[in-house]
Amino acid sequence: MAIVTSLRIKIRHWFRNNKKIFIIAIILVGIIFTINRFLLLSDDIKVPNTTYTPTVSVMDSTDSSPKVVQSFAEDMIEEYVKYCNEGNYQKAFNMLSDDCKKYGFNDDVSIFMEHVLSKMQTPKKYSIQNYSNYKGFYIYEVKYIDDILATGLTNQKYLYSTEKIVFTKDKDNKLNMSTGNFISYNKINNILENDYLKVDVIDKITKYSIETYNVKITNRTDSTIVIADNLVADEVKLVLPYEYRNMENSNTLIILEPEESRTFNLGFSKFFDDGDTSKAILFGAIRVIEDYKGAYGTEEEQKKEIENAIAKFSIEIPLK
Amino acid sequence: MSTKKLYNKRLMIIFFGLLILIIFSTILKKNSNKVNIEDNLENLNVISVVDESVLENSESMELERIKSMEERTRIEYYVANYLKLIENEQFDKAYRLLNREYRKNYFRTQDEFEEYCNKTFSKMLHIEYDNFERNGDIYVLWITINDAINGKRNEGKQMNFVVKENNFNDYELSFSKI
Repeated sequence: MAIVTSLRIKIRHWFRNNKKIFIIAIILVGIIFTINRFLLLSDDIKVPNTTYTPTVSVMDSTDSSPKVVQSFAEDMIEEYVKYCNEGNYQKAFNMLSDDCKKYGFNDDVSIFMEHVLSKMQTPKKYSIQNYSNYKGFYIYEVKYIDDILATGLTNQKYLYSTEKIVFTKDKDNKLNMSTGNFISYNKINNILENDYLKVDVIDKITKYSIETYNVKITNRTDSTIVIADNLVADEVKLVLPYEYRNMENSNTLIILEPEESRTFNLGFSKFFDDGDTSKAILFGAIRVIEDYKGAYGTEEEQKKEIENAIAKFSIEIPLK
Repeated sequence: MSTKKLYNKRLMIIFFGLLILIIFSTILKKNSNKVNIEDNLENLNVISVVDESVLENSESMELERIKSMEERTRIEYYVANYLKLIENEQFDKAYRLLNREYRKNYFRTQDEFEEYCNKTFSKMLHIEYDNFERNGDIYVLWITINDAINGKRNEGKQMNFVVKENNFNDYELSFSKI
């Protein structure tokens, strides 16, 4: 009995003297136990590894859109595709930002419908992928495909279409959606004039891979002014910090009769998120010609026309 | 050093010894869950359904094996296993793995499916994986299947498999009827 009492007193003493160590030890055991449980649990909920990471940006794998944007984008795209699949184009159109409706589809639901049908003629399944996040624009690539799981690709080719759907915040900090690769509309209103002509770069429509400038050109002379007729190199270019870009539709003729004023849409291929800012539009081979025959003339006549032009010059219209 | 201090020191040594033992046992337990798979997974690209070793493992071993596979290998493994079911005439299992809509479209009954399989697939299949693509969470495979015994080179049938993986070894699929 005395031994038991002595042992009890010893243990009590030991606990009293080593209270701190004892508490630290209990905490340590607790931590180890928790880590162990966590590791076992994490093993149980292991999910298949896949290259499908819809929230991670394709252009920068270290980047992803904010969670709020991500969940908004998922909901909006789901609703948008649902309306399109149901043929409810007006409702789908109403989901778009005002700029996208106006400058992307000319405020015309039938133009929008044509666009949708070019992407998804029959009801489609879709998948989304965060593509890039640049200057406050959250760009998603949406792939449309038939329900191939229901067909197994029987008598069918593996085909799908894609488009960029873009989300950005408006002045009221509300997220807006644009489809058809539409990014933004910007007024420019940069004017350059000389004795021969006046060039007014009115505005710019930016789509994911193309910038289109709306340019009004006025011929101030009694002669024909040729800016582009494909007879001379480097007629129209977009000036970037370290390179020039050709016009998207290089067959565009920019020829102005005496005192004529016309508006042209000049498109240049440029990726929105390439990090470059367009500096200017270059008209590199302007010719003022008295009696213009252009492509209708013989090669000899064309040469003479260029040689005998009243004036030959180039201009750069800044875009800032 | 006093007896009391020596006594405390011993107790602390015993205590920390126990602690280290707990930590080691934790690590060992964690590692024991992992199965060391030395197989060269690349070989699965040309895996044959006649390769018996694939299905010799127990269910849990198979699951561990699948967990260790890369995405493409895993999906190709499912297709190989699926064709193995057909080869072994386990049509009920194979039928259940088909996508519901696909069944409605092409095989309304299991009998139809069985009849098609018996007519189309030989008893021993050799598979070659030609191409692989992912579209969202759907996988598309282009494969060539051949009669492993009587088939001649370049006489294989080309077909597509479309696979949706829900979880490890949990998938639904469809294939192009040939």
